[in-house]
Amino acid sequence: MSSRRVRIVYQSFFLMLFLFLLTTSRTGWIRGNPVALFFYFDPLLALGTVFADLTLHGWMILALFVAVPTLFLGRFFCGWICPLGALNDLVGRLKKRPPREAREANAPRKLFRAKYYILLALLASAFLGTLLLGLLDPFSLLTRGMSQGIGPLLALMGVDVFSHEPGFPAGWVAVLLLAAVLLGNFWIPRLWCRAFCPLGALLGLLSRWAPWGIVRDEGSCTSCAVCVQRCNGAAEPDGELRRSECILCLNCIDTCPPQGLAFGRTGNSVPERRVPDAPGRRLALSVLAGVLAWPVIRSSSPRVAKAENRRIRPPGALAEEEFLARCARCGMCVRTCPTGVIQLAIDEAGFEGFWTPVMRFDHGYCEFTCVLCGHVCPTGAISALTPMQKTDRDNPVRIGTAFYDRGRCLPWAMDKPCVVCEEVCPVSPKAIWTEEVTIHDRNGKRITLHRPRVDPARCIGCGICQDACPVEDLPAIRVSAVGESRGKKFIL
Amino acid sequence: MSASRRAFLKLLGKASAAGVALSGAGLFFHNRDPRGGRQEILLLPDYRQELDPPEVPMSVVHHEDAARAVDIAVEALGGIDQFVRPGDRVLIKPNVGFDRPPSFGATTSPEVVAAMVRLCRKAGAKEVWVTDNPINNASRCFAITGIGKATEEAGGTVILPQHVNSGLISLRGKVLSTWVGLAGILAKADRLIGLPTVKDHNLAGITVTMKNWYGFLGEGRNSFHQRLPEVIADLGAAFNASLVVVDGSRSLLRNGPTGGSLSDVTATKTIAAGLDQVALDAWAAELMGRLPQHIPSITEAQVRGIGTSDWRSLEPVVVEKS
Repeated sequence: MSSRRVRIVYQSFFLMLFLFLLTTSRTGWIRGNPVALFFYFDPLLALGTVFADLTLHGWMILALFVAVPTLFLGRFFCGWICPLGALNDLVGRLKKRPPREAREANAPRKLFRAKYYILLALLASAFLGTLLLGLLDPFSLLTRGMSQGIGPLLALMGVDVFSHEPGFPAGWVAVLLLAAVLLGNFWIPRLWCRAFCPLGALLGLLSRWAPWGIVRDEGSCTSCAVCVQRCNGAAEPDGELRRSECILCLNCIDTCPPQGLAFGRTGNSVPERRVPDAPGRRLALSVLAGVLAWPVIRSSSPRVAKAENRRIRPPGALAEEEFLARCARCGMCVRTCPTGVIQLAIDEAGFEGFWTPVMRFDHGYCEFTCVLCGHVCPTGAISALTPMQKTDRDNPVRIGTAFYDRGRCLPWAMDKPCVVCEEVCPVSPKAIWTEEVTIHDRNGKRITLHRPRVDPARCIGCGICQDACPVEDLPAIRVSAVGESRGKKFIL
Repeated sequence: MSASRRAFLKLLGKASAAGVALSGAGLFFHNRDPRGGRQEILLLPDYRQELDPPEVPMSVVHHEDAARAVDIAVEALGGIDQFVRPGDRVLIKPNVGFDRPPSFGATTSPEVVAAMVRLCRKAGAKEVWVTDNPINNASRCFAITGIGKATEEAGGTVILPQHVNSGLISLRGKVLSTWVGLAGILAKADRLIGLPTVKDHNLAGITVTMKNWYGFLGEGRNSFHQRLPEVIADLGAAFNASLVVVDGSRSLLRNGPTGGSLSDVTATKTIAAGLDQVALDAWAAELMGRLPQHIPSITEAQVRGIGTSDWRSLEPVVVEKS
């Protein structure tokens, strides 16, 4: 079996594993699966959270199993493991290119330096306190795009991938980004990986001392450039052998007519380029850009220190400042939430909080005993609670507090009986209580009504009252972030 | 025949075929109904038909073991063969409304569901389906209440609401004329068995037999509360169940219908069976220490003649075991 075939077997396996874990990340199917497995092995998120919050959360330590071997072998991860890379290869194969065109498509370009600028700018902003790199992290990108793009399609075909109606207000943005990444392959194969992927850039930087890699026997090389036609990394196998760009697809070894290329010890006579060809001054400028952009991003976003009306976070979320430093914007919590209440923010949390999870009570409510979001969160931005901690009688985790809009509530504004909110309120004693009043309607007829009120000492902000309210478009009871547990220093 | 003539005739033939196909499609999709809708409306069948009314109309069994009590209660009415015939497709409707463990008394006990499924199997039922359209997420509700596992182990099939064709159901009530709900499974079933639990409810007073049918309906049911007693009576009138077994092994006395604290629940250790839903609701009200005449839905149903709130007049068989 050629080395290319072996690689394709690996890539298919990891792509299927990724999709399997993503599909089973649902109430009833999850059964203890480590659905966030790929994120644990992501050195980009690991480095980002260390920069942003000085912590390497839980299983994220596994990222060392990718980072350390990369020091020795180079970007094997991109060529053999990354599920987005596999998808890019798959889409890239759809376009047949004649030899000359293929050589041009796989030639190095200045554009490919962009990923290093992106990486440095994002790392600079992470250092200052926001994990914006999650927006472009390949696993996050794939998770958001697949679950909100392919997921609703499967649901339409009758596969029960969500246990709720698929409704994702930010879904189209996530899907467009993934579509753009995949369609990029028609212009340049693996355009995303070569030009934009910040994880690829990080692994490229880690490759600089790699003692093993592709080596060329100068004696047998006829400069036919057949190797370039199939080079997945645009790593110039016929020329300078760019270590930071080579993703070890091994196509060059398979295709070299005189068999002059091999995998072996590097560092001898072959001309090679160990650092990206990006000029140092521009790299410094991109760090500066990240540093300069961050205060603007933060100051144009809602205040971090105070509760904000529409910025309601999932149960167990850290206080906002730490949350922004830890949240990978990966959307695993959105994918897993059994009611669809957790959604990617568009503008609810400002630019800084774009694609972070917020509670959208127009899409669902928080199940009283459900704690899945915290358990699938790879970076610990949402704490992994137990149901007992979440529902503790004396010190429950509060998402926010519900407020009545007496101008819209039927027993208050229309003198009609209702109190569905009281019926569904899950805490005991109920946070919603009612007072019986007897009044006269416009014809003088006596009617008895139960008028509801919220007891703030008991309300946990789960929002099932808002979800169940028959005043559909703008419910007469609405949860706001006031009273959220995470505002206080101590949650558990 | 000249070539141009042949070409012309060919075109004419193709155009005519397309014209016929287009007109046919137009007629096929044409809808004369001025309301514009084309959804079918399910007329709820009478699930008691072809069955003789039982000689004993109601039974009440006090017993520590809820599953055993179900067997005794059904036996007292003349046995399960009175209600389920061999080859029947039976639909059981317990209360699976909330994602709470059974000890919280918010849902029907899993052992009661299992006992009922086993009885139907014994009677030779071809299919035994257990369904509900809960308030909380359905998958979680069936898992956490234990009803999903109990059903499967007893030989029944759990039907999640998202797997049922929903459609309009004609209820012909005073308030509820038609409503969207689990029409697909209701149409397929030959028999319907209610398996409610006994619970407090702020607005309705209690929620037991008649209100249990709420779980067959879908979207927009949160508007029922504006005329709740009438809606509950409508439900009682619309769903002519083959049999109702009330799970009074626990009663949720406070903070209903969700509960949430073990101190809201009392072990009442009683099972009642019968066909008169009003009588069963009245009996349950008394089990909870309330007067049936104070429950507006019972009064409403009594006035409409759906059943009698004087359950003692049915002379129920009462079995005492301890």
